[in-house]
Amino acid sequence: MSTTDRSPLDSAILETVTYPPGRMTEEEFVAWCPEDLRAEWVEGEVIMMSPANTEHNELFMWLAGVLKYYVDEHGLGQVFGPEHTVRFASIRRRRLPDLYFVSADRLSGLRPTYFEGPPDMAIEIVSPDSVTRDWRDKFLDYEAAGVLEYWIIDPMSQRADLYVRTDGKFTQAVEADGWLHSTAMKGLRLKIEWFWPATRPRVPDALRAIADSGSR
Amino acid sequence: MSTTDRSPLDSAILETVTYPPGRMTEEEFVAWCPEDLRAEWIDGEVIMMSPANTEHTRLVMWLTRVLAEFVERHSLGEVFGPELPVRFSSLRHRRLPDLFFVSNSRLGDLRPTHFEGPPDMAIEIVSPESMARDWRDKYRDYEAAGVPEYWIIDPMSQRADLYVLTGGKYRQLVAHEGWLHSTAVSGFCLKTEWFWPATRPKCQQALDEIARSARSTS
Repeated sequence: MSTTDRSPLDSAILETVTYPPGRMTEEEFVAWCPEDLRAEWVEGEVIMMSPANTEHNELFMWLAGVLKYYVDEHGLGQVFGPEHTVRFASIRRRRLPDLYFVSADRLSGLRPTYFEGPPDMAIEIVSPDSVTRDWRDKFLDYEAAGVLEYWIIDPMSQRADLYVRTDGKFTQAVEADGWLHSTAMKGLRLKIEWFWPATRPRVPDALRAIADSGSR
Repeated sequence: MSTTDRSPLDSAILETVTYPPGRMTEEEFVAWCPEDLRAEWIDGEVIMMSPANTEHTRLVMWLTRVLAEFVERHSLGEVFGPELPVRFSSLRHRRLPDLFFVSNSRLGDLRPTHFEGPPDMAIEIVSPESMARDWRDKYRDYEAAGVPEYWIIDPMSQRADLYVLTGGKYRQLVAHEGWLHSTAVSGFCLKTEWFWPATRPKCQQALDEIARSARSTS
């Protein structure tokens, strides 16, 4: 089929649709995956991530701001995402968490193009195309791979679940007065209502509220 | 604490909150669980179902009518839910699917107060409090227990997934021109747009379309 009668946009769409070329080994995937493409590798299968929607991106930017500042302020480690790969060698997967945190003493697992997992904390913001991936597949992956803490934030159902590793299994942390308390990121607590657009404070106000609630 | 200063509603709320009394054996659970309470039993743990919201109930009612009518018209079996437990003895679970279908050949596994699972088809309609339960926990249960077909309908993400058991694992069946085709209920199919309130036809209209679609594909 000739490409002369297609506009640049048509060609771009067609290229996207014809990606990816079937199953690959991990080496093939790493060699093939373009740097600007968000794709995960799951035991030979390639999973393409859809572009984020506006609310997803707003929440992501807000969370990244709060976490990055908090972690820097307390010298806890480093925050990554959403284009930085976590490699889970034990379960043969390469995942792209929306956000993840690596504590200072685990930073040696960092490689030039990925982190050799598991990270201390992973956060996923659910979009329509990632409901099964975030609620089921990644829960099971993160649990099996030894991630200490998994946050699932779902703007559609306005539901935020925090799972903490206990005896090798995720158990759900219960909220206290609307707050969810992290154990992986020392002292961090977030109000569930902050995840929804109508009740989300500015980043500095959220950080102040976190500091105030901790000193009380 | 005395109860004299509480209104009847307060007392009712307090009773609900103090349910259930910790872990129980299956026998204890069956003896304890009030008939009007929707609760599941998971290997000793008791899970309380929240009351359904309006749209959830509407969709359950609509689906029940369409599916039950189709099943009866074609003498395929029986449709149950959402208050009849399914017992998965291999997993040590008692679940309450929103809807489930049992084919004629399996009706012998019906008991006075439950169905001795797995049913041929289970349907869950997701609510905010059941995200993890429907998308993750029941998916794994139904797959492990051998439910041949599982429909998950999620009005919040407007997503409807149909899983069919193949070689002991669920495989997702994708919609074909907007239709999801059941394999467990022979000839039954639904348009995914019918799951969302703005594009849901009356039951009779849906049944007519299903019949037309069956004629055109056969």
